[in-house]
Amino acid sequence: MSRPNNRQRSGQGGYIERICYQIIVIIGISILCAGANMMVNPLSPRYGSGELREGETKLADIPNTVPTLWVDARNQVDYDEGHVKGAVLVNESLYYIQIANFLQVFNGSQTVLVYCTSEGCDAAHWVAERIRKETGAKDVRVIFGGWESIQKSGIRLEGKAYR
Amino acid sequence: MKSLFLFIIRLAIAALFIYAGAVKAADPGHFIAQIQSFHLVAYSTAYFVAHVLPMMEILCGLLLLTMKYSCAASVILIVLTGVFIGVLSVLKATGADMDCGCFGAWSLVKGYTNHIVMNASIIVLLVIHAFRSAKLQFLLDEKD
Repeated sequence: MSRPNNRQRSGQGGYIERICYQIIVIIGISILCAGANMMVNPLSPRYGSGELREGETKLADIPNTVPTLWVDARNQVDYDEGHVKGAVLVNESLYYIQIANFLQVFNGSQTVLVYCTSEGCDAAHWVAERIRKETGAKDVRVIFGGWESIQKSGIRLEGKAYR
Repeated sequence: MKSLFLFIIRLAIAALFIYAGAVKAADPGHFIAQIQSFHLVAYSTAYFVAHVLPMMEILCGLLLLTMKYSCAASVILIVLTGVFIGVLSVLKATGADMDCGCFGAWSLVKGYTNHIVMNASIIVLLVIHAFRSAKLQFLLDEKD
């Protein structure tokens, strides 16, 4: 039995079927090309690397008009080397001593922005959680990307490396 | 004259989508961040869309240029552009002030209204092209 030719296939139903088939092919090829781009493109992030954890915020999402208090959750050496101008050092190891410095400058209404070294650093989350529970600060956020993203952002910095 | 005009429009639209797809495909991380800033979809969806959508734009642009599968390519681009107008409208209605990410980090058109007008015009032109290529295909089929 011979295959139906285009005229026999063409009717409206046959044409729509052909368009649907073409659409599926295009989508399939796009997915394959996307997979290839993920593997060869150095700017393509690995899955999960850009996902915000609970309590995290990106620098770009913080309005300039909001009064903020920066908290550095890294160690003393890194803090001395460079930190956000005006940031208070409050880290895990000396939290119960350093929190007093935080309370001296916290006025109750500022948004507290905590950072540590880089993305995936748990120290900032630990410090942020303690500040939320123990100081009454209502708006405490961890900076996504930490010190690494802050250095690229243009925020004013101070410390030994910035004299 | 009309054919020449439609030919030029087809080339322009194809070039626009190839350009838009290329700039987004070059930096998927930036596009993921743009999609996430809309707060409309989960990270997994944003990740998938940020990688597949630019490829679809490039492929459909190339198909429009070569007139292969061009009706299917037009339909896909109409749907993508329509969804995009919907997203922009929702963002405008909520008063969100964000870059739409249409051209990745190299946006030339600024402002929601400008984007919506531009995308609506593109949909109209794509619909015209889709009908023309469908009509042409029917004529070719009937000749066979």
